[in-house]
Amino acid sequence: MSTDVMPISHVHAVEHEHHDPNQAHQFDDMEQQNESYIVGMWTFLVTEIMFFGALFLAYVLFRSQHPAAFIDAHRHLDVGLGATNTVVLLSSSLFAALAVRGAQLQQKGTQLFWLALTLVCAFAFLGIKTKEYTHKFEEHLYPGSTFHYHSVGESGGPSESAMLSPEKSNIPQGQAELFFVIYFCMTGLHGIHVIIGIITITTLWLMIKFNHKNTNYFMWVEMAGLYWHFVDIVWIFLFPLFYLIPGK
Amino acid sequence: MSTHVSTAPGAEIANNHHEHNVAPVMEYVKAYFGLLGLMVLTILASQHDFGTMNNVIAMVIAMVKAVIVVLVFMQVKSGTKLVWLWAALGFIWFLLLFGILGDYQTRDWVRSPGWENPAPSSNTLQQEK
Repeated sequence: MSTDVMPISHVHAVEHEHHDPNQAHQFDDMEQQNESYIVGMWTFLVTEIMFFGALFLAYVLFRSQHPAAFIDAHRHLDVGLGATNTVVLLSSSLFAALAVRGAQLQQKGTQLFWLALTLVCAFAFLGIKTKEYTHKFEEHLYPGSTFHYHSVGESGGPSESAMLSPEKSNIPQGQAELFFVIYFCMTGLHGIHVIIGIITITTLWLMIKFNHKNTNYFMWVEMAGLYWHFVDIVWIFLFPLFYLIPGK
Repeated sequence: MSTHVSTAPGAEIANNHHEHNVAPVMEYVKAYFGLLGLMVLTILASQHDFGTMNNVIAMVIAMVKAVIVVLVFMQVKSGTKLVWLWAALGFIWFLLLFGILGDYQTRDWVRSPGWENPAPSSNTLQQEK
């Protein structure tokens, strides 16, 4: 019995031509097609690693040149909000993985449910990030002609009282500004990726919901999932690099 | 036997897929709690000053988290050799990129006429000319 029913990935197109309606004609079998899709997605992700990698390199260079400014300036970031966003993104990654699992099992309802939860987390992340950005803009901590830096003191995060009576900072304005330049560049690019993820997952959700052609093929959700996990990985590095800089 | 033949092809595909590729839910849940634990660990570690080890500790924890995501969530664990190669390539390219830092680190080693270790705000290119 078990020998009669071969896994779909092992069924060769030579033996059963167009066995799976999702199989494109240029592939020998579904196994080859699936691998090609995943490797293609990974190739794109490698280019993304290069993209972010250049910014990580700039970060390391700036921080090694101005360690004191980076330690001082990072205190303006709220560790609580950063940690919350980490939990939100890690949860969204779990939900995305469960959505992919649902797609592999061809369970439409499961896919829709977990993809929707992934979207909720993505919006929550953006919401928290907007709150953080707004605060920085109010404090004139965005790079530009109106940039004005003041230390928040060694203990605790940026509290209201610290804002009202800023300590006299011996950190040069330009060096502190550099911290916020790289902060906005990296978290901004990451935020753009989150927005692209939201657009992708929303499109996918609607296509699955309304039974668009070929959406019974799990690979679309799988590839969106790979992208989303990559966005999560970038944040895994951004969080300690910006929010958690120990030292005095 | 005949009843099995009459089952819908879609169900058959799904069942087979389930047997061969689909990871159990608990695997994802364990990875998730592992990631949360590591996040707490990295926050706790950042509250102590370990001197030069600060960055090493933070980046090692981040690397472990990234590896968990890649292996479990992105399912490279059960991927083909080609997928493993591509995932490894991403990491190798990243390391190669950081080789550029070696340039900055070693500029003092060989003295070039007219080139001094630049102050942070000075323009290196102009000095070289």
